[in-house]
Amino acid sequence: MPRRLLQVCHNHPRVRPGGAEVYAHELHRHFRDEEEWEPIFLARSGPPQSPEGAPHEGTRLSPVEGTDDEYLLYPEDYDFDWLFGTMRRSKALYTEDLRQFLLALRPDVVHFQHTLFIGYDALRETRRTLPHVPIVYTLHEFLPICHNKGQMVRTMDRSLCGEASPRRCGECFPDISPDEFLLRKRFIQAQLDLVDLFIAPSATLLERYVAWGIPRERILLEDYGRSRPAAAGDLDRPQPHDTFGVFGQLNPYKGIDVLLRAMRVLGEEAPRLRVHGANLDLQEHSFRKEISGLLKDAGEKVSVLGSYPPERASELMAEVDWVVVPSIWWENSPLVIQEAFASRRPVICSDIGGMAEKVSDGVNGMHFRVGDEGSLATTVRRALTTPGLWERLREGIPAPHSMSEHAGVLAEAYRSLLARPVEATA
Amino acid sequence: MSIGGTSKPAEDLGAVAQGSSLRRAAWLSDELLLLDCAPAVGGNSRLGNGSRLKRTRRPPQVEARAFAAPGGRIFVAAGGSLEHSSRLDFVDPESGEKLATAAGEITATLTDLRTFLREGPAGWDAATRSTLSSFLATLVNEYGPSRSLGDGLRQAREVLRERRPVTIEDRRVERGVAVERLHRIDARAFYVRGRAWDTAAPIAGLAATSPEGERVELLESVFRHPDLDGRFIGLFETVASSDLAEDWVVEAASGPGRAVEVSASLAPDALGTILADASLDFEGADSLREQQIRPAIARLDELLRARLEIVELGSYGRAPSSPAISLVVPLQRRVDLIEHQLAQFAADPELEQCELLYVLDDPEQSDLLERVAGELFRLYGSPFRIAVLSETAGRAIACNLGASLAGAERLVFLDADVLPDRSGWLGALGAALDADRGAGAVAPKLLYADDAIDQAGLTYAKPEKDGEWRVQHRLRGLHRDVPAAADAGRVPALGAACLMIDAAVFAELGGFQTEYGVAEYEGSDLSHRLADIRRHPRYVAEAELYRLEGLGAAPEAVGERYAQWLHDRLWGRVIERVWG
Repeated sequence: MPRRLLQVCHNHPRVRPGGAEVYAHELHRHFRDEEEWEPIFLARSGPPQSPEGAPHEGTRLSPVEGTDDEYLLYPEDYDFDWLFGTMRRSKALYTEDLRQFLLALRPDVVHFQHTLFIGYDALRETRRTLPHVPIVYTLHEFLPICHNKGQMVRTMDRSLCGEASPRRCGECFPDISPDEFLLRKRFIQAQLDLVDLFIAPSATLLERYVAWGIPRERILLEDYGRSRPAAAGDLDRPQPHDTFGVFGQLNPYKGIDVLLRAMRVLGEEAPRLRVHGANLDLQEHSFRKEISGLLKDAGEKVSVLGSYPPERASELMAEVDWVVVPSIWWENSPLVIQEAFASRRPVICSDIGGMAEKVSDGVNGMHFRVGDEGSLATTVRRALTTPGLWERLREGIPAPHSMSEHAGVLAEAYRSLLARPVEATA
Repeated sequence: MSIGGTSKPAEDLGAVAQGSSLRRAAWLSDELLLLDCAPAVGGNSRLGNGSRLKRTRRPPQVEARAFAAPGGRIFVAAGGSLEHSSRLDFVDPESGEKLATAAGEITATLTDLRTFLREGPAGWDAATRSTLSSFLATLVNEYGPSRSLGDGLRQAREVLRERRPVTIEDRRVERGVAVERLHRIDARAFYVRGRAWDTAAPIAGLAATSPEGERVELLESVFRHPDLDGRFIGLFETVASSDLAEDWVVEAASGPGRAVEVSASLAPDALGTILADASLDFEGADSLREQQIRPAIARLDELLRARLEIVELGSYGRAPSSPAISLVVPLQRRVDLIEHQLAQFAADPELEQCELLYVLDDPEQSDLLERVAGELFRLYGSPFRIAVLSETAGRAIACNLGASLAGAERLVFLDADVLPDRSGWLGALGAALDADRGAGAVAPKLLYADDAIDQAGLTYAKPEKDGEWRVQHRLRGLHRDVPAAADAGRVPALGAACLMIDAAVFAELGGFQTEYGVAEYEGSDLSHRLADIRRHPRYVAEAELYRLEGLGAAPEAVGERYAQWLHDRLWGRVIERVWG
């Protein structure tokens, strides 16, 4: 009999196709084809990402239309508390809605892809209702550690933060006392303590969580896997290799401003740049204004092409020679880098965190000093003027980590958790 | 109220033929009839003001009181159907001697209260009017407060009292009086802070008149000091209980024709005012605190404790039948902190042997607490109980009453903003208490959020020679791992934010002293009282907990200054001898 694997995610890619959601759903679809597993996908829905509320009176659950193994959970009226990651108004989401769901489906493994908008208490509820079921939790960014959207970037100057502490966090949020931050940490850790195994897609993330207090032996380093074939983008490109692309969210942490300033530094030498970015309209006015000023300066060399559906990423990457990842936050394991490598495009990225970890400088891409437009301009100039560099870096690109390899690693981890004696659960 | 019974039949007593003539009558309230009679011929020497009389003649008997003045006699009679009487004899219930007779048709003389007073007592001299007004006010003691009596008394007072020029609170005028705060302590005790000034002459008279009309001289009872810029502060008492909150009158006089008055209303939060006054620092502040502040606070505290109740709201889950330890957690402002403690306790195996009792010190949050408690129990599954005080009373009282509900022989008092750093703290505290037979109470190392020490027990300091001893947190501000903090053992005292003590010892000591209002001083006071039973306080370095005062779980301590003074007054000499 197949084992029932429940994945819990903070969004359904149909509602909002963010990186983690897309990945989690791909993983779910992959397990559909494996006899050993019977996957179930539970995603939070409702405002603000979706205008739709719960469709049926008396329940906060509904199946995703057209599927029999995907559900949506609508917690919108519980008032999610961003600081503590819990429901402020009532715990009934856990003790009633989630409990009913868990008891009805009785999963053998529960894998939380995210608890944002759902709350860390979902872990407590799972442990309480299914005391012996392994709980797995994938760490996607630093949200449990950092209240600044999990970026570990200081609020006052967007400088990088290496370590959270009550006083430092209080500096970033002067309206919240350091004592509240300690309370936050203790609360979140108490809930995460119920997790049997964490998945960290990058060593950067793993080390940060170990330093924060999660026992190293409870974290598995395992990168995201990808399902899509890379063939569309795996085409050679004629000389000159002078088209650059930037992909993903256009928020202040993604460094689009650094890239556009580097274009200004390069002036006449600046290459063509294709900006495939989403959600600029959701950003603060000052940021939008800054970006529009920089775009104006860059003139015709920059094409702003808007957002794209994830399945078209390879096709769009085939149109560029170089992919730039100029984030000023640490990043975890950026899906853009995986996409670029799947499309066999060298990556120019900031020299920190998950980016520096996944891209080897001089092997399959180049690093520049984070946040430094001069350093980025120099790197771009090198890319444009060094003969044979593009081809050489392309050769250094590793084979993509396929979803089947990735799912194999996870399945093995699930099996070993299931094989443990009952007392050993966290 | 019934008058004490006389052994003789009423008819035997009515021997005097000549009655005083009834001039007029009026209802003072729904129950009380005022009768104004001409002065007795030859006078009744035994009829004094406030004499308690009994009206006889025919049943039903009614009770009466009398007020005699040169201009006439006022009888106050209680009971129904009085207006139908034509002759009333008033007899001393003790001796049976007939003292007065009111003759005449009451109905025919019945008038309204204002007319009654204006045509009679209003013509008397000011002192007698004031005495009559005070006499009438005491009727509240006998007949209890009622709306109609209050209205009647206030009307009477306005006719009878001597009016002074009303002042405005402006120090540029030559003389004046102002009331900054007026509070009720209980039905007959009041606390006032005001200011009286006259640039030309010293204040020679100060009086308050209750809305019911009782006049109380303040000059002797309140505190005044040259450094206080004309302020008067303190307690005063009325003979009659006063129920009305509006229309107090305070007057100040600095000589004939130099009197002024101001009206005042009772304000809420007596304790707040008193504690603010306790923080005044000037040459004579100790006397103020000794003579006025402490008696006022002690009285408030006593009254509060007398009327307080603790009610168990609910019991969630099944606690161990004979718990090793009862954790008593006073909840003051932040009910939500239960969730955070439960999140920590859930992973601590030692808690399984304990009973957890939350005591809400704010009845307004009872409904919220019940809802939160039910939801948290469903989510966490750890057993606990909740109880609520009938009114907000402060952490010491919450702890004392919580202890009365506790089932274990050992208690831990734990503030809601205290979170254990790790499991094992209860065991460490218990082991230390067991290991040191002389230890009466133990407390852990308390930490700030940044891992600095908040306190490793308490100690004392006297910053100024001849000043007061102050409680200080031992090793405050140093890193938690500083070697000095690792030395467990006897310390001068323990704070109360997290403290373990055997229930029998706690009961023997009588619990926390409830007049401080500041946890450190409550803990220190308890620590000193351990010496009375040949025990001492002990600090336990291995038990480490965070104390997060920044969460705002406890109300802002306004009484720090008073607590320091009271503590020094009670324990300063002991501290000087032992630790000085």
